Amino acid sequence: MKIEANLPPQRVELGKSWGRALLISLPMALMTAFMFMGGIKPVEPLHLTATAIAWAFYNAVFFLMVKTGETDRYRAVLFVTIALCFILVFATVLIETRGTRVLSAADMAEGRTPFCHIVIPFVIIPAVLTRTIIFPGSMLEGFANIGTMLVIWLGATLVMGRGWCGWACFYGGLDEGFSRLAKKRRIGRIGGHWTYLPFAVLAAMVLLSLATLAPAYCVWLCPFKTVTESPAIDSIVGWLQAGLFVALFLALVVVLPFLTKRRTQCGLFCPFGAMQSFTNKMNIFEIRIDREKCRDCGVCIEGCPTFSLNEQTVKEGRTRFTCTKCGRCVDICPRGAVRYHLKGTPVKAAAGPARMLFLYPVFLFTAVFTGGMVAGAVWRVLRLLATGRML
Amino acid sequence: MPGFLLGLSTGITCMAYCAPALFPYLAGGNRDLRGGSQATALFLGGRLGGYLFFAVLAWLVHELILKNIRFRSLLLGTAYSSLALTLFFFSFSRPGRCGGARHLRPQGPGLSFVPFLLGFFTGQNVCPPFLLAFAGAAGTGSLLGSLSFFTTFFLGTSVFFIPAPLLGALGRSPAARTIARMAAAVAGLYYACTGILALLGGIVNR
Repeated sequence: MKIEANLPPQRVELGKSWGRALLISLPMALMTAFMFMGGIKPVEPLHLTATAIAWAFYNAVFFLMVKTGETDRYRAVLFVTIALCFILVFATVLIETRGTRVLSAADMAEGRTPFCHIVIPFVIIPAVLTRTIIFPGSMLEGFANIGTMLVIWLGATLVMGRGWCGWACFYGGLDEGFSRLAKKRRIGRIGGHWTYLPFAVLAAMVLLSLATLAPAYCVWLCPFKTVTESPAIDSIVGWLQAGLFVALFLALVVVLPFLTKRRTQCGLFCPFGAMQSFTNKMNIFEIRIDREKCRDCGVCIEGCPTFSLNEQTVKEGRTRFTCTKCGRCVDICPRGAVRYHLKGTPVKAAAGPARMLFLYPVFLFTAVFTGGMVAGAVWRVLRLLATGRML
Repeated sequence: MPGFLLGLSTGITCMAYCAPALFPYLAGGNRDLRGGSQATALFLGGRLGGYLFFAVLAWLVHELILKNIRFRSLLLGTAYSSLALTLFFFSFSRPGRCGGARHLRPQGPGLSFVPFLLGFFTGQNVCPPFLLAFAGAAGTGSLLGSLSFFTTFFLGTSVFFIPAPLLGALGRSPAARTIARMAAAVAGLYYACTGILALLGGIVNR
């Protein structure tokens, strides 16, 4: 067993030669160039430079994925960068438009609360039953409006299922980043029953949102409020909310990922991730394990950041339906038994084309969805360096 | 009749208010349709108890409840905190194993006071339809009128609970049972926070 686990991972490299890798990456470079500029060449030099840097970064990441056959290492770099850029851009835009990062009752009353994807399950069900959007944001106008986010989510669901949580979620990079800081895992096994917790949070929060006609998760439990939009701390309620947000952020996004080397917020708490898991059932991309090659060494189970593999699922040759398709298990399998797979095709079908068929739409979606954030963050940093002002 | 019609017209909201307590309880036990119906009946019985308790209050001190924010906060805080404790108890106890749970199950297999308590405390949930019913009951001017108003209001809202026993079937799956019990704890946490805040509000607003 241990000998198996210590073998170097076998990778599926479709673009081994530089020329071939460049050729495969070229369509992505052209499509992202068009998408990043929105069909119009930026006029301002700083804006042009920032867009070019972001474009080069995305395409370098994609090229390395193609050239090396490794997915997860480069995806993680991109994912963490997206999260950091998002926080920078989000906070600065809030300060520019509102003058503060704090969400006041007046902002909520005027429907100026930015909408994020995590609220989607708490909005959909009350909307179906009451024909009312219970979120205090704008449906179609302004920054991060509800309509745009719902359309983006539908697109992402079709393209990647729960792959959203491994590729496009602009919060996920935070616990991913902290989970990669420590060299050694300090907390080993976490009881399998804890993987049910996100579904419990989802069920409880949907029912409470329906009862109170307010997005209960945002009001009480969202750890990311710590680094995005803070509640006004001017009452006992505000103190309690802020205390819960900070405590959950420190526990689930910083400390536990550092100690377990896993994405504990995404794997053990996030209700959106729980709902998104069901969309994996409809999505054509999945991770499968070739049982003839697999020697049950357990490397993939130990490595999975979202607790989506266990002994039983490995024996069945598949992942749990919570898989985020990050590609870590594919990269670390010493026998190359774990692979991206298209539903309806044989598990033994060539792994390289299946991986590329997954990577192309998913990476393109991620680039289009998050490219503006990264370019915006680069623009603000360049502006800070050039003028001494970020806002 | 006005109580029944009010219950029918606002019952969906009443059910939504009760759902965070009732649904995890129903899905958290391994029940067939009969067991689910028994649990729902106990819950509704508790809810009727909560309503009748308020019917008496409506007759006795309706002015105090409708106009005194402090009194209302204390009442709501106590109900929410008690509901949170009941949900925590359900979530962390294992029927048949935990001594505490066994003490609360004196009526034979499948029955317990937990759904009754859940119903009783959610029955004191001062939701908008409930306030309407309270005002209507207070307007009758007599204890009998108040009791009959709340009883007919209860009957009207109970129509919406008819499909609830089907949720008991969810509890056939061990995973669903675990999720439901965890969901009860999460909902309990929410009610605990809300209850403590309401109690603090009642204490501070002297």
